[in-house]
Amino acid sequence: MQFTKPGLLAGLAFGALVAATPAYAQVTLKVWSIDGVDRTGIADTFSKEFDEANDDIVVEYRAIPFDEIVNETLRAFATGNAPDIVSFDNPDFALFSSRGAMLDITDRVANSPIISKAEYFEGPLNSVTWEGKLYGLPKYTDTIGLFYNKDLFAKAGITEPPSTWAELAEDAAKLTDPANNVYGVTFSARAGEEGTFQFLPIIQMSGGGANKVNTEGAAQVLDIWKGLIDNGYASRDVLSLGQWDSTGVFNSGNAAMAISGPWEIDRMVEDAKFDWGVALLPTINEDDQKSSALGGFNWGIMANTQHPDEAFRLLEYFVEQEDRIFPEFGNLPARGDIELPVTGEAKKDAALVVFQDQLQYAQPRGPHPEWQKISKAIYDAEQQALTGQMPAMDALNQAQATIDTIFKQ
Amino acid sequence: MTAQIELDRIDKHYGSFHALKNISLTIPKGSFVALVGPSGCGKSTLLRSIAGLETISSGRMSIAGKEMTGVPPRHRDIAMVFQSYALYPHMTVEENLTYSLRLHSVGKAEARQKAAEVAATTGLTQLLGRYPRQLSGGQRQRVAMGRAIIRNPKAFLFDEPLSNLDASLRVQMRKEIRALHDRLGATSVYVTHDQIEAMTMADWVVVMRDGIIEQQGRPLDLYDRPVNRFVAGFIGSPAMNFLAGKIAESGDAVLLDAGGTLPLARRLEPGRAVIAGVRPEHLVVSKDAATFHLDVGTVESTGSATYLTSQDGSFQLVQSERTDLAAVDRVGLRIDPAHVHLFDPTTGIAL
Amino acid sequence: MSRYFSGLRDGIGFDIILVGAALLFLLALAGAPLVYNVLMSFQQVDMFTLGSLFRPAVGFDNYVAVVQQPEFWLVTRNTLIFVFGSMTGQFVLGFALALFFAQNFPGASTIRGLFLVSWVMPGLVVGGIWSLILAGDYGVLNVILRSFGIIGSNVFWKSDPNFSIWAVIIANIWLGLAFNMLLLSVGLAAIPRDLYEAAELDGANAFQRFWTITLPMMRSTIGAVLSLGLIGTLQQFDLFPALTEGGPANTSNVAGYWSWQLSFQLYDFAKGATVSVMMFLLVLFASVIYVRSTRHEVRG
Ligand SMILES: Nc1ncnc2c1ncn2[C@@H]1O[C@H](COP(=O)(O)OP(=O)(O)O)[C@@H](O)[C@H]1O
Ligand SMILES: [Mg+2]
Repeated sequence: MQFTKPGLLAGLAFGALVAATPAYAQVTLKVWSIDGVDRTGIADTFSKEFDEANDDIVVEYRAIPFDEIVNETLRAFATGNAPDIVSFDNPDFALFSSRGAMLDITDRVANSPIISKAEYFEGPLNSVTWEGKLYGLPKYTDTIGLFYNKDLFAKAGITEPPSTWAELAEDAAKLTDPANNVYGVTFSARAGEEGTFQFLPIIQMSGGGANKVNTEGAAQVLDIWKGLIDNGYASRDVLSLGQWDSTGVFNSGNAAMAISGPWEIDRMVEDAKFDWGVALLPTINEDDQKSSALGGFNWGIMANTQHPDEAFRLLEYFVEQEDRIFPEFGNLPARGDIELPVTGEAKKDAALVVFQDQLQYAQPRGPHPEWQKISKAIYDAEQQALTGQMPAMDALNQAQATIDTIFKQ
Repeated sequence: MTAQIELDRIDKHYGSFHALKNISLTIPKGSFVALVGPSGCGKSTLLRSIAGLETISSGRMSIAGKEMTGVPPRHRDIAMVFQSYALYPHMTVEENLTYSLRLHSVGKAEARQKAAEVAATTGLTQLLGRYPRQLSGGQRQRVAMGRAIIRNPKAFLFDEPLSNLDASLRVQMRKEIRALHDRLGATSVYVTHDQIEAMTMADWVVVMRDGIIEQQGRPLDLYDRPVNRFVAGFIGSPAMNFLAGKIAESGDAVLLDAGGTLPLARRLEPGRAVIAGVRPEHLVVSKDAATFHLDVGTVESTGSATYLTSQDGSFQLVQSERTDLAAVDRVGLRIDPAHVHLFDPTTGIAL
Repeated sequence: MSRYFSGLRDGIGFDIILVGAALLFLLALAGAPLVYNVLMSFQQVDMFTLGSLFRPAVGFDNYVAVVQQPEFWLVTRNTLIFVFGSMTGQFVLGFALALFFAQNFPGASTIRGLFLVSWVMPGLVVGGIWSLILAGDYGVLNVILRSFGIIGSNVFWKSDPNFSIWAVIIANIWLGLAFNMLLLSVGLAAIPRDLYEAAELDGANAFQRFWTITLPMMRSTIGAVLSLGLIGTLQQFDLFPALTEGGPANTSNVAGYWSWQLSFQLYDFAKGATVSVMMFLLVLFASVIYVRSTRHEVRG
């Protein structure tokens, strides 16, 4: 393209004029999220659309890496520079909502023609609720289930995936094949949120929760898991592998089962050279209440926004577009009223059905403003038990003591 | 006299560079031998080979009758004084002196005793507690000497030990080193590029050039009877003048190309081209008996001697008397025929 | 003009200006964040007061709370092991390599230059690579150790509480090796050759030359290398998230990573600051020892 100099100058002048005198008063909304840091996602795409569709509203979008978004928002909030809308990982949400940093949108949602609270799954909704009030909306959700290698199961003569942890241990023993470098099962018990993510459901299905972790059932499962590791049915490196790497072991055929989530499906379709399926996360006893971890992000409007009405309009726009998030971004909506389109990839479609089912049992981590401290107490206890540094119950009791001090505050 | 150091056809190569070429040398016990020659001629290489700091490429070497090839320096019982002194910066003078004793686990008291003795002979008694950086150049030099003599080694090697000192200190140290040598009766090999040092200090002078020994002998023999033009030019200060010419019909004089004649004390084949060498101090200014002439360029006098230099700068003479000659004068010169040296113009070998 | 300056330079006033400028610099650069951290360790910090300087004072509560954390003593022990293990490894291997390359065999300087690669690589990348090397099932290290018969079955470096801190130490040694070696190489090169020759003629064997010449001559270099090593090791962060995240169960957690975890993962900024102040005191203690040990140093 060639500009003539006068033409360029005129263009510049015109641009300056436009910038200086908007046609009418404009509202600027700031939106922060992790989308767009390494690939485009929900928040950056929809923000841009809304910005272009509405002349009266300018949306300034900022992508912030996962590790920094909470700290960045904390700092911004403390100095009065907080965004209008922000998206947090669901366990981080209570840190803000419990301290009045998020706008109470209970009434707005109730009056909204677009948003229907009843359609949301219970777990995700809990994570944006604090003391009965609604401070945000789920953005998308995910959970974990049990992937299993159908070929290896057939070879070992096992017809059904396990439904209890004890069964899983039995199956793992049969499936383990050191000569071929095959472990029975793999999971992530890493020292971090991923470790808690996979272990908290056990606590929950044993009747416990974030405030009560030292349950008999949880200790029992820890002993089973420790047995898996000690017997070589699971690699000792589950203590340092993240979920992505752990599932990689499954994909390469070196583990017959893996605990992981729907975000793995596309890679598995690509990498796994065997027939595989997904089952619901095993329970402790046959007819125990099912549970699963709740992953996924939430939306929230920050309490000190100058433009709550416009911000809520943007939120409504996000919700309106939710039928697009699976086809376009592969994220699962946190609502029961959106049908997932069939992809035609049989294993994937079958897996999604199971995960949709599993989502009904997904329970949030917390919600609690000091969730991360609770989480550390939980994964520390898990690791102490699995490495044999402490008997499972002792480790859970120690975690409980820490958690008690957090809840007592 | 027994040979303390015996070098037999030594060669040293640095890659493709031939640094020492077939060097044979016998150093008698108790003698003071100077290795002299222009910079880069291989003196240090030869000295370091004796010390064992360089491995020789071929040849044999013995010290006090023992074969030394392959023997590491620490087993050769030799002391060396480096041009840089190589004092241990982190040790006091006393620690520097006693380092070798401590390595050989000599008792503390004995080491101190010896250090005190050596300090006394080298004038370091007041400085024993100081670090090298707190010493002047001359004092460091003494420490380096002291460190060598405390061990009572089979031989002393010196590598231009005085070149970092100022002129007057150099003259003084020259005498001190020689006196020390005489007192200890040790065998010394002394490397220098300064022929005056070599001539004044040594019993035996070895003149080197380009990795070979050009001539060796007693200092005055080298002065009186240089075997070639290089040695003739190197030994003596100011340097010998060289004049091209050819033998006269009579056979007992040189007809100089620049004009004039030099009488000879012997007879040579007439018509032969030669280079005549005359030392500046042997020329005499003479009005009547002059056989050739000099156009005086500069006249310099130190009081005790007068230096005349030709207008083209190629020729010098020294007179012990004062002179009233001026820069533009043409003077007549003569020389005692016995003092005329002759060299072959192509080989440089003395005739 | 020049008279004016020389008068200034000779006078005591100039010294004061120099000292003053240096102190001001130190205060601005190192002091401000430090003071802020110390202040924070005596305060109650939450998300509403994060941006302000003056917050409710809580005395030594944060310190008491930190010490009462169940992992406190474990982290302290790990920190000491980590610092001591890393520094010893980096220093001894770095020195050995520096001595090796000082032999000036053909290609020595080129190969030595290649060691810089480890230095320019970001810690997270190094951590990722070591994470693969140290993996229990398919890690290269286990393959090598097994093929030499040193171990019978796989060692789960990152997951076994007996080895997890050593997994990070091994990676950290590798990370700091080049720096140590290069600094020590420079120190070695600064020792005049003739000192060694003099010592050799004085009767010192290789070991004696090392002890009586190399080591004392390298004293200030060694002091610098060790202090920088201490600081670098205490500051080491990248390797932890890549390798163990301080696990299993804090068996590889050290003060630096813990401080970060407290501040930026658990959002307990006051405790995070408290741990960093404790670390600072440790460094201060080490520097005092270092300064005392070099006070009588003499250089040639
Ligand atoms: N390590 C070496 N490698 C290659 N050449 C060297 C080495 N040491 C000395 N030489 C060469 O050998 C010759 C003799 O050196 P040296 O013995 O030091 O001369 P000098 O007579 O001035 O003491 C010089 O041309 C020098 O360049
Ligand atoms: Mg030399």
